[in-house]
Amino acid sequence: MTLIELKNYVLTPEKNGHGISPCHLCIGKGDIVSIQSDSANDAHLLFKGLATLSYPQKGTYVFQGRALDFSDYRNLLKTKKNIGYLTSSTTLISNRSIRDNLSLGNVYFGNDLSVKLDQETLDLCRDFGIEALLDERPVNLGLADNKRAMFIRELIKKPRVMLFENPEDFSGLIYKSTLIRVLKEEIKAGMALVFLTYDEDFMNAFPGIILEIKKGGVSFVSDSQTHSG
Amino acid sequence: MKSIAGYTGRKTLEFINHLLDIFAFTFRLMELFITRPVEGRALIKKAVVEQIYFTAVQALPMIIPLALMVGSMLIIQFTKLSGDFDLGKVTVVLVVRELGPIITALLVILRSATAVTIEISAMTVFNEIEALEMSGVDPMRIVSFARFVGITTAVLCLFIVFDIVAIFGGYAIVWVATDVTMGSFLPLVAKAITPTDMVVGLLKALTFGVSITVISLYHGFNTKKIITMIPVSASKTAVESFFWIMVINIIISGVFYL
Repeated sequence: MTLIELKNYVLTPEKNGHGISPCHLCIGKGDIVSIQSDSANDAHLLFKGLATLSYPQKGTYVFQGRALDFSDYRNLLKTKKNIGYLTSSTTLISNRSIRDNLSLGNVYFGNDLSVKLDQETLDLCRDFGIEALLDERPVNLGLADNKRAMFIRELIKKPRVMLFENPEDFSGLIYKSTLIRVLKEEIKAGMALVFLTYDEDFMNAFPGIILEIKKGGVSFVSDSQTHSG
Repeated sequence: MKSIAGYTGRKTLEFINHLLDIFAFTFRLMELFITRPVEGRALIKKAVVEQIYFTAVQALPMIIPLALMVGSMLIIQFTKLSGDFDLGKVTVVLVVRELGPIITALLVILRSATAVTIEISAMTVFNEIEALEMSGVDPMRIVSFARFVGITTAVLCLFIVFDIVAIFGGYAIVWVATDVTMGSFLPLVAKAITPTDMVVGLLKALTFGVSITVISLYHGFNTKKIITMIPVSASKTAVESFFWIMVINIIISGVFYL
């Protein structure tokens, strides 16, 4: 089943980089896509494009069979909720505690301020060593703790696809194996993973389709079903 | 000559564009009163209460002494002129119609509007607005609408507090601390005040509240993603809010009293 399909998709560069030239790509349920790029900016732009945070100059974004309407940001919120986004620009809400950050979605959509973290989330917090830090605000914590909290927040959204830029930054050395284990479980359950890493452990743990970005051109180098434009 | 005309034209177009943006933003906020999606209502209610607490309750230790000072000072000055002017009428004109809404708005601009712009600018610069969107949460509702309702309500409440404290508190201070003869000051004020004065005062407070909030939110969301632009946005909010409340003040006074 195709989750994401980009047709003739063009993204203009936000800072440096080439942007993304017209590309066609498909990402299916449970797919693992490893990005290799000659420019970190272009790779980041593609992540933002896939997360619908960067709007296309032209082309069509089809998510779960439905073409997205970029004319109003509100049309994209439901799609965004289904996409896990962990990149260098991902952040927590700084004036809320970690617990509030993790329960924000449930509180908002459930309309209940008394919503507590479920057991699965608490288990994840314990596995990633932030169980004792739940009532702290992000500014009182180290970057590594915040990054693990971000990972948990995105994971408990139960995303259809996880966009993951440099996962090694989110796990650190200590929690690398835990993060790999958790991701593998989610992929097994049908979540797609699009990631960029320079860490060999992650490369070996998630062998999949390689998506190459060269001077803004996007092409799959190890899969015949999908193609570049 | 051509370049001067070009410059003037560009600046005029920029100004009109900015004005239209502000109106569009106001419209988008007003729209939320009508659409009222079910999602997020509990969180918005909580944020509204928090905002009223920050803007109104926490400002009371500032607005009350300010109102007492302004009230007592005006009453002392007016009693000197009471032979020439109607003391009650002058107090109503200055406190209820003009100074009350303006001083309240000024205090809210200095205390809250700049703070809101800085907070939202920081959220924009540090991608926190994106984080909200990625959770499927509409930042216009959770961030803007709650502040819009909260600050506007707070300005209205502070205006009422200011007027009451300035007139009654000012009278009490002058009565206790000085030997100035005020005659029947309070009955004169009661006689002078008309329903139109109260409507004008409240209308000014309401429109000031709306314009201050819209301008502060607009500049917060429109901050370029550079940290040095945060103070620039805060400064723009303060100056623009003050300018527009003066314009609105003249328009409302003109409509009701000319």
